[in-house]
Formats: sequence, structure tokens, C-alpha cells
Amino acid sequence: MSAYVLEMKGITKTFPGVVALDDVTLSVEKGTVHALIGENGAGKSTLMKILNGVYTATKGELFLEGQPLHLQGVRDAQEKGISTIFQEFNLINALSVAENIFLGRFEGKGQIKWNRINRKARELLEKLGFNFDVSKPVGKLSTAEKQLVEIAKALSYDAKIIVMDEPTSSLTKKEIELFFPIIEKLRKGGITVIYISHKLDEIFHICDRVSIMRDGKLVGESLVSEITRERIIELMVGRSMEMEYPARTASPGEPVLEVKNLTREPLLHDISFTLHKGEILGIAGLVGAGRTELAETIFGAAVADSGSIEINGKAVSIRSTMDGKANSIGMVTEDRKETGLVLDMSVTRNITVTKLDEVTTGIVLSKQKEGEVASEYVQKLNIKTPSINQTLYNLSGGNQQKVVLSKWLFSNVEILILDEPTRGIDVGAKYEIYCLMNELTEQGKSIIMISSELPEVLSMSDRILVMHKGMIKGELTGAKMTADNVMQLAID
Amino acid sequence: MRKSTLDKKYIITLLIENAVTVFLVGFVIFMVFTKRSFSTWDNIVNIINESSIYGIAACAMTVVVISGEFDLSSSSIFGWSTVIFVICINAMGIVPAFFITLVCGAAFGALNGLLIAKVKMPAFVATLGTMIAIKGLAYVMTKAQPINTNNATLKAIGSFNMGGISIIPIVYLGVLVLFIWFMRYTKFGRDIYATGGNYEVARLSGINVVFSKFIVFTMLGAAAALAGMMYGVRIKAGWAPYGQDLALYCITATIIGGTSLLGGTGSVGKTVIGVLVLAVLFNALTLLGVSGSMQKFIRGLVLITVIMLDAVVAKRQKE
Repeated sequence: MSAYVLEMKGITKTFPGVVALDDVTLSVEKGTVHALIGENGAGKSTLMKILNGVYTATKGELFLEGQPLHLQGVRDAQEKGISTIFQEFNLINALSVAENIFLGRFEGKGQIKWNRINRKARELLEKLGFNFDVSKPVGKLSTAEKQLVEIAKALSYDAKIIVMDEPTSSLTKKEIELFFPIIEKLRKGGITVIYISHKLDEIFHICDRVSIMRDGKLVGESLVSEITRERIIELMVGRSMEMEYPARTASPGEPVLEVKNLTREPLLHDISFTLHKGEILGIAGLVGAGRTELAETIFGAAVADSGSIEINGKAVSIRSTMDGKANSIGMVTEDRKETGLVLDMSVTRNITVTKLDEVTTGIVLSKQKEGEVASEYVQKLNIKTPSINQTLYNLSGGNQQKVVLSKWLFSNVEILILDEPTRGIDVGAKYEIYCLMNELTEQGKSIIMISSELPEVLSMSDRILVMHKGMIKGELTGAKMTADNVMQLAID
Repeated sequence: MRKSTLDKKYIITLLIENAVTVFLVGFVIFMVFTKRSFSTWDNIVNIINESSIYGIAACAMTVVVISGEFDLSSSSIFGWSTVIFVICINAMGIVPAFFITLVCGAAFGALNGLLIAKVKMPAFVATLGTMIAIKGLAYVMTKAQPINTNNATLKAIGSFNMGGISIIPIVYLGVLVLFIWFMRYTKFGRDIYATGGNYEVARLSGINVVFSKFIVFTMLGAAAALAGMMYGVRIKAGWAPYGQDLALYCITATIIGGTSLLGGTGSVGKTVIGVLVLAVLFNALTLLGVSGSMQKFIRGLVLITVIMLDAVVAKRQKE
């Protein structure tokens, strides 16, 4: 038997007009945690979709425990011992934990043996070191618990390999700390984990080996203990990165936005703060602390119960997103695919959508003006797209994010709220976005940046507000802006 | 080798996508050779005149579908409009009748819009309810009897003839151009595409999504009324059950044209193809001696088939 539990040999995958994977060979040892890292669009997802049976490779072979492997689809892969846990969980909220785990595989002839199923589900969770009510609907569980259900489901298929796609992206710091021991347990149980993540810290913390991809090719592979953070980044972006964050170049001026006693029950309580001209105000806090809700309320996507908002010293009433826009506020949402972009529409249409008045002659839309605007932003933000008429499905995360930014830059707002502006995008594109934030603040625009990535908040903010349970628990400036101080305020 | 399999898949998708058009071309060729009466000028003109009535409403239905909704009540608005149009003509002449009917239709549409855009009722339930209510109202107005008119102006308009083409295709053409222009070249049109493409994205882009959804139903109400009046021009009568199949006909034509039920894509111009496909199909069936009841059955089959193809194409494109 081969020493490798999984071998993917010479995998090539082409789509019409695109080579997504070019002769990739990946070998994974049994019982290891193997990290797969690369910028968005590097081919990680495509490679994993071949492994879990969604795609068939154009060329190349798969071996599971030395035996050639041919997959007929996701279910087939699952039954052969390859489970994938996606960022968006594959669970039905209305069904119980046990039902979700054994969905489609209920035992019993005609009548389902619930006792047995519930007992089995409990046993699986106990194996992972957890014990909670398996008859509870999944919808009532926390994100971390849902993830656990997914892992239990994989175990119920006797998974040999579990692929985890950005498993910690929606977990809180505390939940992440509970998550790592689970991975440890899986490893000890001889289960192989393929760990896809952008978070280098995590890779150094729990992974044994790391494979780095770029432009559809495997560009490096190493034991984690034998590689440095800098080297990984260098391989990912294909050049050496001096720094992950540029230095701040603008300095804050007079107040632009003043929020006073803003309350929106039960999510926000008595929030007051000031945003200055040319400032990047970081908002830190755990997931669920009310950061996104605060952003929505300022922008007008949700309406406050009480409190006031002043812009340039004048009280304004913001009760809809149209009011927000009219008061020169823009918001880049945290989920670009669901709430940031119309994926069916072209790059051009997505950019001009916020300010169509700018691209009309009389009342008629001018295709020429629209094209000019789109070309301008594609060039300025270095958006990689075959054409401005391309729909957004095929653009990578980083390029999609740049389109979202473009649409608010085009509408020329003075106050820009960025909710997780670099979530799920690669290091290169991140750097470009940070530089853009600097440039905007130099022009006198003001930015509120919500971020769960501490290094990002610490490096890019002029000042940090830390939210906790719908309130602003503290403000950090200057030398007080440290990871420790932020976490002190963010947790209970 | 591999490349050719890819191309094959692409071609198959393309074929399914245009299955109905391909079918139509084949069917037309078949008809031309087997039924001499099919390809006569009279029959062609007849097809154009007939299809133009529903075509008017189909333009607006396409806009509603692009916005991510649909409307069942347009059938009843059509029937109601034939009734109110004839009543008003008999009472006060054709010009006031025209405007009253148009405003009535728009008002019914606005009611739908209000229920769906503002109250946020599902379109299916809201328009099913208004469909029944408006139809009931139309029955009440005429005590369930058809009513006639002998208005001379109406007769004159009805007898307009240009090489066999009546006034109706000309009105259709006007409506068509107006809607194409509206959807392609105005800010409102673009807002409707964005709203249908992704409601939340549109809302969070500061677009007035409530207005977008409201206005599409209002326009459809007005268009259905105009279509009803054109029918009135043709048969000089009004009756509540007229146009019963309008809504499904228009939705079918829209999907055949390539506008997805999911919203956000498609165009009014393409729906013309859908309207023609259906018109030619049913005209040919009539010429072949297929009974009215059988045609109803076929109409249902066509609707299911095109929606199925729409779903299949969407699935294949995702892959």
C-alpha cells in the first residue's frame, strides 16, 4: 500500500477558454493536516471540486490509498471516504442534528428507527468530544456547532479525507480555540484533513504540510516546520512582499460624521462616536457584536429607534439606503456575492448602478459614458477582467471586491463604510485595497472599516472602536492600539 | 479530442436554449410544404394581427419577469378592460373611454404593485387574489353577459387596413419600441434589471427597489388594459372571460424569448420571438384541424416544456 492516502497526479482542468489547473500533482500523507493555500483564482477550489466529484479532470489521475479513483459525483466521493465541508454549510435548518447527519440514509424498512439514529448521532459527536441535544433543529445551533455537525456527518461516512474550506472564517476567536482540538482529534484518529485557508497563523498552528498554488499550478510544497511565513507569501504572489500593510499616509481633520445615542433594539444600544475627515476608523469586535448592524443603520439599510446622526454639523434623517446615498454615504457589504454585486450583470453595469444619473444624456443612458467610467475604474483599480462587458461570475474574489469598491468610488461618496473589505481575497489584492484606502483618505474621504482580522484593524486604522453586545465598549488610539487591548475589550 | 467534447456540450446547451426556435423553424417548413393555406399572405397577416393583441401585454409581462416577479391577474385586467371600454364608449365616447380604461388598468396594476412591493406579499398569492377579484368585478358590471357597441369611430378604427394589417400591430410596434427603449436606455429600466438580478444588492446600492417593483406592475396593468382595448377594437364587444389565457400566454412567450423566470436577465425584444412562436403554433394547429380543447391541452404542455427547458439551461450554464 502506498504511504499516501491521496494522490492527485498530473491534474489538468480546462474550461472553455481557461486552463484552471495545469498539471497539478498533490500527494497527501495519511493522518496529516495538509494545508492548501493560494490567492483566489489560483485553482484551489477547482482542485478540490475534482477531489469531491463535482468536476471531472480533463487530464490526470486520482488514487485513494493506492487504488485508482473514479468519482461519479459528490455523494459517490462521500461514500468512498472523501467529505468536503464548505464555507456555506450543507445543512437544513429545520431538521434536527441527527436528521442532518443521516439525511438520505435513514435506517429501517418503511419506518425510520429514530432511536438508533439519534444514538448514532450522539456517539459521533461524543467522538469529537461534544455532547449536545441531537434532536435540536440545526437552525438553533451556533456556527461552530453547525460545523461540528458537518464534521460528524463526514465521520458517519467513515471519511478518510475531510476537506475544509476556510473553516474558521465565520467562527469567533473563542470558537476557533475550541475548533483546533477537534482537528487534533481527527488527526489522531487517522483521518486526513485538507485545510484550505488564507490565514497563515492557523496554518503554522495546526498544519503538518503546506502546498502552495498560483495560477493553476502547484508552486511549492513543504513541511510547515521548514518554511517561513514570508516564503509562503512570496510563493503565493509570485514576488516577494515587503510588507502586508502599507503605512498610513493621511491624517484626520475636522469631524465629518457624528453619531449620537444611536439605538436599534435589540441589536444596538446608545452608540455615540465621531468620524473625522480623512480618517480610517476601525471597528473591531466579535462576530455578532453589532458591527454590521451599526453600519447598516448609519447607511440606512436599517432604521434606528432613536438617536441622531450629524453630517458636517447638520442633523440628517437617514431612513433608507437612498437617504444614505443622498447624504454621501456608501457601504461595501461583507458578503460581496450575496449583497454586493449582481453577478448576472456586467462589470460596467455593476459599477454604474449607484449613480446612473452620471452616465446619462438627458434621460437616456449613454453606453459610451458608461464604458468610459468602467474602463477608468478597471484601469485605476487594476481589475483583471477579459472585458468590461464580462459578467461577474468568472471573476476572482479580489477582482469582484474591486468592482464593489469601484461602484462606491464612482458614486463619489464622502463617507465609505467597509465591512470586512478584504475577506476571502488574496494577499496581493489586499495590499492594493489598503493602498486605495490610503489614497481615498488623502483625498479627504473618510472610512469606517469593520474587520475581524486584528492585524488589519491594527495596521490600517487611525483609531479603533471595539464593540461588544451592541455597545461601544472602548476606544483605542495611538500606542494603546494593540491586539491584547482589542481582545480584552471584545470578549466578555 | 477533449476539445471537441466540450464543443459538443456547448452546442447541445445552445440547442436546448433555442429548442423552441429550432422547433418553430422546422414546424414552419413542415407547414409550408403540407398545408398550402398556411403560407398565404392572408394567413401571415392573420397571424400578425392576432398575435399583436397579447403581444402588447407580453412586453410588460417581460419587464415584470425581469424584475423577478410575475402576474396572473393581467388576464382579468384584460377582460375587465374590454368591459369597461365598451361601457364607457356607449356612455361617453371613445376618447374618454380610452383614458378611463387605461387608468383603471394602471390602477389595478398599481394595487398589485402595492401588495407585492410594499406589503411584500408573494406575487403568486397577491395576483391570484386580484385575478379572481377583478374578474368577479367585471362579471358584476355586465351581469355576466357580453355587451356590444355600435360606435362609429370604433368601427372606423377597427376597419383600418394596410395591406391586410390592422391598427393593432401598429400599436404593438409602438408599445414594443417604447418598452425596449425604457428597459435599455433609461435609469428606471436599469434599476429594474438590478432589482430582479439581486434585490438585496440593488437595495444596498441605494436603488429604490420598492418603486422598481411597484412600477413594473403598474405598467403591466396599463399594458393589459391597452391590449384589452385592442381586442375591443377588433370584436366591438366586452365580456369578462375574454383573455382568460393571457397571463400564462405572456409568461410562456417571455420564457421562450429567453428571459429567465429567475429575473435580472432577458429583454423585451426577445419576447417578440416568443409571441410569434406561439402565434404560429396555434394558427397551424387550427389549420390542421386540431380542436380548441386539444389546443388548450397543448398550450399547457408548451408552458411546462419551456419552463423545463429554462431550468435545464440554467443548470447547464452553472456547470
